[in-house]
Amino acid sequence: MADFESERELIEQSREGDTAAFDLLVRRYEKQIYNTAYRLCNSYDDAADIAQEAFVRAFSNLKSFRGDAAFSTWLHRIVTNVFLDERKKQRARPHRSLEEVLALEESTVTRQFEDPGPGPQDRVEGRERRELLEQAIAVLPEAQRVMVVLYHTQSRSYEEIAQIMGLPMGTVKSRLNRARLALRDKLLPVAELFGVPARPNK
Amino acid sequence: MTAPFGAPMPAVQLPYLLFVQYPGSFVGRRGFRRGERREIIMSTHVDCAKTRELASEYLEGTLPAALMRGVQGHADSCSACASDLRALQSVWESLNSLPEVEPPLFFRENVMLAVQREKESRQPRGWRSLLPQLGRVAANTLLTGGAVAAIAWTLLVPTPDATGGTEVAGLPRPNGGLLPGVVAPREATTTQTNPQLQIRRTTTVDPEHGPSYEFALWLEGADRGTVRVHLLPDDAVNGEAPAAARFTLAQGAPQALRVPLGAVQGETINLYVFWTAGGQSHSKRLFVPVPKDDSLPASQQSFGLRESRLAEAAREVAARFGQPVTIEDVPNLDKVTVTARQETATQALRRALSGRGVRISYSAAGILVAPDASAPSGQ
Repeated sequence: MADFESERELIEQSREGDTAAFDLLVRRYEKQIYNTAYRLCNSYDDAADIAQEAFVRAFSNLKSFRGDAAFSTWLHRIVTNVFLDERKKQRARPHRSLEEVLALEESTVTRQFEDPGPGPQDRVEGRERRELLEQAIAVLPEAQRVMVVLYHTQSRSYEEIAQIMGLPMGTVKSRLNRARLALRDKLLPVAELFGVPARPNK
Repeated sequence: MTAPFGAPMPAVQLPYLLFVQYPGSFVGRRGFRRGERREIIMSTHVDCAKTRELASEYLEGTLPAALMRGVQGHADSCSACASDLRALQSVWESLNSLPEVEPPLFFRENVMLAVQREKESRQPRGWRSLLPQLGRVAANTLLTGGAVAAIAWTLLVPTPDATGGTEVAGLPRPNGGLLPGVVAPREATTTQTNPQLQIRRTTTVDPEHGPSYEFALWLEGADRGTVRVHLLPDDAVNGEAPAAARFTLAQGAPQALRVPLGAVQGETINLYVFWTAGGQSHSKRLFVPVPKDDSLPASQQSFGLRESRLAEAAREVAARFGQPVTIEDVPNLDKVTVTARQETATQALRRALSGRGVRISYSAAGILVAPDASAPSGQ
């Protein structure tokens, strides 16, 4: 990366408490981190909270960033942890029914993708395919979801995911395989939408 | 029989021995160490279960050649596995092409506000040093997003008081640190069936960053909701502008929305608020006049407006009478003609909107236009 040196300087200055330097780092990574958060929680509003908390944690813990991994890998580890912590907290909160959460998130999603007027058939199908895929991702176990999001939407390598999640690479590979199979199995009933003819019986 | 990774393999169906070199670094206690060599017995006999296990690596083409051939051979003879592999490939491609989304407006500004707050909290200086930062954020957004975008909001932390109610503590104010006039609902209201979004306006004149209007938003009758606020310019109240703010509201935890008056170019602050809670979606349009000088407009006036959409007419009335007008859950579809014959704003609006299934009421918060529950539907 051409800006590598300047990034190191920005990190150094942020570590000293220089928020203007940190602002430049946020500027550089806000889109990546927000997108990761959004794909993990499938809600625009929650993603903003999660990504914001991730940057705040990053700022507070810059001293522990030693530079053996790339800064973006380190940020991804933090946003992943924030997401997993949030889910843990949500599970511990007994009074919020899942239906309510889903209803809310559903309406959030539909309102974000609201599309005036009917579009061409393939665009409609594309959207349907994307929404089905997003729903399938949203019900994956969290650890699998994290891997799918990091690998497929953030183009992180197996090795980086292993670093982010603190797991051996072999485990990452096999769990990702299981996650993809789970997604495929969930989507088999609508395989036609994905351009695959219905599955023959074994 | 041993073979290095990647060397050509005879097409054998018998188990054979592979040296597998695991590259890369591993973190944690489990698994292998970097570069450790392990001997693994691998069979090139591939059945349906084995195909599942190897599916990803097969599609990536990273399996040893013999196993690649093994999976291929199995898929050639098992149509279900062949179909599953095609489906997996398709899902894989769809996953890779999920679109990127844009962070909400002012995402970075809010992050930096939170970072600043975090930094302050670690220093003994306290709240007061946050104020210049707030001003800076407002100024920043003014520069980057244009006048329409100049809006900043802060999460207010509710603190329970001795009476069991919840008072809303905001930023330090000259009057002792409480946002004047805002008291959140006492308890979760179980009797209330429909969720309500409450909005109260308070004027703030802060010498540090000029006069601004602050709107406190809170939720009643639902645990949690999402709110989207659009700030519309005077000549575009019938249209859409990008959301100026988007946030989640929890019951009993109000959010304050600050609109610096310096950022408002027209006669009114025009807010279009779209909110969702308890599975329902609602809208509110607020037209809040900005005071121009000390003289109050006459409470009874005479004029005739050209035919226009409801939002435009309401904005005009709010500007002329200097009174806030709120339109709640009334679609901005029909055109209306508002005239006033030495009348008050409420009288003029009532006459212009009679027979349209809306109810016009007046309170300290201004004029409210809402659907008339007693009117026959379809009006």
